[in-house]
Amino acid sequence: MSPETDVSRRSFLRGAVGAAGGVAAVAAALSPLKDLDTSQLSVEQFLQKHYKEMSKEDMDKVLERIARQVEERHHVRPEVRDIKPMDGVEFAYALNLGKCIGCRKCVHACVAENNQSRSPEIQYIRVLEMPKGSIDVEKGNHHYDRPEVPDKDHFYMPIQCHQCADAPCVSVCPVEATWTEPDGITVVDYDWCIGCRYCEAACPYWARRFNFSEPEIPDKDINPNMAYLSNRPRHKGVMEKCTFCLHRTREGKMPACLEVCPVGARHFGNLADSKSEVAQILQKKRVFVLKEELKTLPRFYYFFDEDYYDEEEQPR
Amino acid sequence: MDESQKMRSRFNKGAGGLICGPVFLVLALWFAFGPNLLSLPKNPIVEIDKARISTAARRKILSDPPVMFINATDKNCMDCHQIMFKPDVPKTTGFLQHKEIKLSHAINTNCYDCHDKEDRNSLVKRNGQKLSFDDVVQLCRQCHGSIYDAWTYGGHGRTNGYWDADKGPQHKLKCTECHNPHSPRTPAMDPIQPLPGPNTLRMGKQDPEGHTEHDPIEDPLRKAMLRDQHQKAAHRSGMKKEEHR
Repeated sequence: MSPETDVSRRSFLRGAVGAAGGVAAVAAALSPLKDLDTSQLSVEQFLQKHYKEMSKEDMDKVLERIARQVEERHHVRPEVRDIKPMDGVEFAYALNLGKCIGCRKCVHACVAENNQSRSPEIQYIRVLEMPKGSIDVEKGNHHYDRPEVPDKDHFYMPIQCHQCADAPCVSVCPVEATWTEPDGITVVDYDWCIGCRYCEAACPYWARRFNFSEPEIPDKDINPNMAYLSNRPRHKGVMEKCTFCLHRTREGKMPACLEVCPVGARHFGNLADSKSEVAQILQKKRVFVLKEELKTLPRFYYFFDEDYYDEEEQPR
Repeated sequence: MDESQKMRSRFNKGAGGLICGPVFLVLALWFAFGPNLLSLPKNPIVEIDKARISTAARRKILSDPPVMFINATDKNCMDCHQIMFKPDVPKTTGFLQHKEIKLSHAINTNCYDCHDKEDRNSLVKRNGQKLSFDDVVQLCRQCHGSIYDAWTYGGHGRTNGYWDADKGPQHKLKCTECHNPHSPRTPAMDPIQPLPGPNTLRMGKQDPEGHTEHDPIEDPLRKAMLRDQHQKAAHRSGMKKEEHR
């Protein structure tokens, strides 16, 4: 067994080809690392605790870090807060399908409010155009493009996160990066999410969005009013979703999508207060939830006005 | 030398080092200078038209009492109507002013049904009680009772500001902030142009040619599934025809 004789040309080539193939595979697999933005990585973020285990001081440090990073990246000094749920409040949403005209103002107001990526586009609300007569989401069309809405043969159904009481997206998360808060809002800790997209697959309402690439937002369009659990800018590789604008609603304000609705189809409020707008609507209108049979217990209700079917186009 | 010894010898003789050295060098060079093979194509940034997501009411309502800009000065109603004649006949347009007003409000065709004949700065209820323009809701509720009920609890119209009245002001839009009182229409409001549709990675892209009418389904997965279904259905109906023959 002398060292000089044993490496034949054949075994050398075979080994070389195998190794080159292996290297190519490794290179391809690691390729996404090449455009990893390391400027936004920090040791403190890596060592950060889970949201629920953080003390007040920990959270203050984290908020300071986030504000610093946003400022570095977008040249806007944000006000990042950690807003806790209010006592005795359970949020709910009611949407009047008889009124909705499909103008998509809510979609874009939501994007502006919640700092979603503009390239590639991420939108929490999607508006389905469906033929009148039945609610068949399979016949829904997201991409309707008309000079004017509403079309008289169609109705419009906006769908966003239903903030389920028994949320399938929460129970599938392997790292508890998403959970339902006491006021009914399902939130995501963007620093804890590992981007496995189980929740996206589990959601029957198609309400979760994934950052496939680093989100891009023009600096001038950043909304500086931010909360840790809602609209602070996200990074590539994490999930995000509608939070009922918790940075607004936990301070008593209406969500952004409601305030722009030109027909007043959207209603929001505290379900625990029987005199609130939504509680009254639930008492007085015939509301329904989407995909009731899945028992996800949504906090997002749809209804039609009683006079909806009497509506007829009349000349002015 | 038996087979197992041969196997061992391959790794003993430094061939691994010979191969791996340059290979890792190449890998390092590729990482430092090579092209990025898997970068996603970048779409242009989609800017949001701020003017079109305004939270303002759909109609601008006049102040109370209403003020109009006539002959280069602000005038309230009584500045003119103090001296103007007050016709008894129902009129639908003015001669010089108010020409844009077209009264087509079902059976409600008389100006004085809603406007006070003597005090033009006020509205008037059916029982003769005067109302300020700010209380226009009380005027409309005389006929539209069920809608007024829904409006009071929040089932009709829109509330801007705070859902929690303890935390801040609520602005409940009044009837005339959305509906034109002189010619309300059915459906109640004018159609508007929708904002652009989604161009997201999950929901697919909008057809640049605007051919969505012809092919409303943009999702490639659904398209493939539907094509499959159509083919199966065509196959089945073909079989049926053959049976009939």
